[in-house]
Amino acid sequence: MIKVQREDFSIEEEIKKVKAKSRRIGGIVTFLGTVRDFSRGKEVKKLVFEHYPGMAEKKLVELREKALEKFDVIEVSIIHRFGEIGIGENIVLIIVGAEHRKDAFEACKFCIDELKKIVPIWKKEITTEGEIWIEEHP
Amino acid sequence: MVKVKLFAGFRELAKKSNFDISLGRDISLNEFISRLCDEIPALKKPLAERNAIIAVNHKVADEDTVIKNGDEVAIFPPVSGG
Repeated sequence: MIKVQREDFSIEEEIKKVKAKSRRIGGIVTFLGTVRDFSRGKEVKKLVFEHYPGMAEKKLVELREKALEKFDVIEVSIIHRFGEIGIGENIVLIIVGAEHRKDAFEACKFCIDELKKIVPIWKKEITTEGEIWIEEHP
Repeated sequence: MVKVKLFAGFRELAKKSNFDISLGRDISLNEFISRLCDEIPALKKPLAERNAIIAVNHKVADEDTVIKNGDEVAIFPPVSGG
């Protein structure tokens, strides 16, 4: 399941949905991206995320399908937020459920690395020294 | 008619997010970019100097892509989600 949404998500609720997919799941790996208060030497006040509706969802669906195909995992869930997000708040959640941990860890890393390369979502940092669109993916 | 969508820095430079361009015939991506710069001169410099990704109908385009009426063309910088 994939979602691009403005509102926050409940990690607990989303994990429940992944677990409900299959009783064969024996390991769940999650990645949670959050907003930090300092970046590139500047104090960050908040982030603003913009996405390309339609294409962002399409790319996330492709990414999920690729992960399900490439790794021995049972379910992959990806949620990314858009709009203004404050310090410490959630940005992105990836949950991978598998029979065993190894593929779950690898699939989770694959999903966040690829998301940062191919999904049309952009981040603007609002800092104490001005606003800047980020055009790289460390 | 081609639906043009701009995102992030390109949207801010052009001061608009959506507009339409009507084509008399199918044209190459390069011709389309020149046409775009004529319509919105503010895009000329950033399109020449900065990394721009162009997606046609939600697929990243290359120089062989042909643009035709009915297409949706999006212009955006390298992505930075996550």
